Amino acid sequence: MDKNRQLLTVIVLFLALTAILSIVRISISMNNSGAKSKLGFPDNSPGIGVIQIYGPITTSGESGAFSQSGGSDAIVEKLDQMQNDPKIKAVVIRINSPGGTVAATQEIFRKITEMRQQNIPVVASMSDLAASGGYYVASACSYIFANQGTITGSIGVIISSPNFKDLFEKYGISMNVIKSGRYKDILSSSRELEDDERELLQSVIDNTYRQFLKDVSLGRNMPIDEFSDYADGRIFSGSQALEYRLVDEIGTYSDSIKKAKGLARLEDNAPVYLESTSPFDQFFKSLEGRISSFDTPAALLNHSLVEYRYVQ
Amino acid sequence: MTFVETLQNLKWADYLYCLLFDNERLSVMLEEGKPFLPATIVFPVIHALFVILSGSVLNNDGSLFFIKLSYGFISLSILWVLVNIFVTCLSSFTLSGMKIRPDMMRIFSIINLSYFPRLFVLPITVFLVSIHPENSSPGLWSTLSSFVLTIYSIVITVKTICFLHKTTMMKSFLSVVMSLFFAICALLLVAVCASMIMFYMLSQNM
Repeated sequence: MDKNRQLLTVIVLFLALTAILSIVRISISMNNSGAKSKLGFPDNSPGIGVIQIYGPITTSGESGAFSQSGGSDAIVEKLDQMQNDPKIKAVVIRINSPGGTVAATQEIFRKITEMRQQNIPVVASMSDLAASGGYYVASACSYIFANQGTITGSIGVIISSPNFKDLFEKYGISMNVIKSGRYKDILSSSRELEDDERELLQSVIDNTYRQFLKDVSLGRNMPIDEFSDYADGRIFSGSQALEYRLVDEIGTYSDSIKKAKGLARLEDNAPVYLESTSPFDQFFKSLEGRISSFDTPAALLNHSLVEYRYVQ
Repeated sequence: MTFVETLQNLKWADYLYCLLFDNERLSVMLEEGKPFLPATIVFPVIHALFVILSGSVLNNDGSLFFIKLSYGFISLSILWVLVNIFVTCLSSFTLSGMKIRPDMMRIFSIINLSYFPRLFVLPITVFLVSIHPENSSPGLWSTLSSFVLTIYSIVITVKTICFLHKTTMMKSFLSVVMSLFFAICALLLVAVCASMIMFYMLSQNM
């Protein structure tokens, strides 16, 4: 039996060796393929934090069964965590957003301004779209990168509501409205907008627009007169935005990471702490994205908020 | 007896040798020993690890490897142990139906032990990936070898149960294969239900 025992011991050792070899092989192939996670201890050295602002900016945002909310509350909370995290020396905000609601956008703007006041460099990296509220957020950052083809600008405010008056009349539908004041059903979709209501809404829009101009001026350190002529809701490509000094440089996401490291006086190989690198999260987020990308008719009808939003 | 002493006395090697080459003697050793050998659970657990490693060697995984090695390993180990318990219960039930008094604890030990040959899927995969000639398909050959090793495991289980219960090979074969069939059906059902629940949860959050 001794020979058999030796044989089996060799077989077991062979299996253990193969397991070790396969782990080494996987590790090497991961290093060669540039996978972000490598075998070793978690990195805890000073580095850059990355926040993504994707899609319309709203307070609560979309949340799924397996992922956190992506709204301004969640973004401000993440920024707050990064602000209080001693290893985060600078932040890159990756923006791909058509803008969003006023308060949500302003909350993110204020948070970024607060971080800048604490000498934490915040660099904006514009992706496909950083228009209206997307630009509002970017303007709070210390430095703005845009791609040449990025759609940005659209500085302005919008409010809209559908008018179904004719449709209602055609089908004999009428609304029973009991209100406490004459403006309570302003923007009702069952009737025309009155002149005084239009005037009232215009004053709200103008006031909110002035807040936009003031904040962009503050964030970009640029007098309002310098950009108010083209702050009429028009969009710009990244190259045009550079001409008008709405962005600081044409560059990619990698360039923004390098810039953030430079501003924070970090080494080139300093770690980048992403929001979520878990393939599970990414998988479920992509799944949720596919399902929730179809807006319901009800959601489309309820779309009558004052927004810093680029309407495509 | 401590763990080191257990390793040093090499009695485990006798079990493994008999598992691979002498199933009759294995059934005698099992009869002489304790009814349940807790150490046998190690085999499905190591098999779960080896399956994950061979999959990652084949696919050149990125950061997904760490997810597989943590969540995947734990889930697969638990799954294998649960499947083994399920197959043990069903085999015992089938044997009872054939008027054979089943020895559930020893059947469970045999099913766990039978995972040992399936561990060779990793060296085979590493070998195929390391030296595979041009235009060959290591994934295909690895899957085929895994299939062959699984059949070998089933043969070991059938033979050992047959010797342990002193019954015919056909009865032992029927009890194991039927149990495996139901286990696979149950697994598919669980997978379909889990997918439906997941998509229901996702649609609720639209």
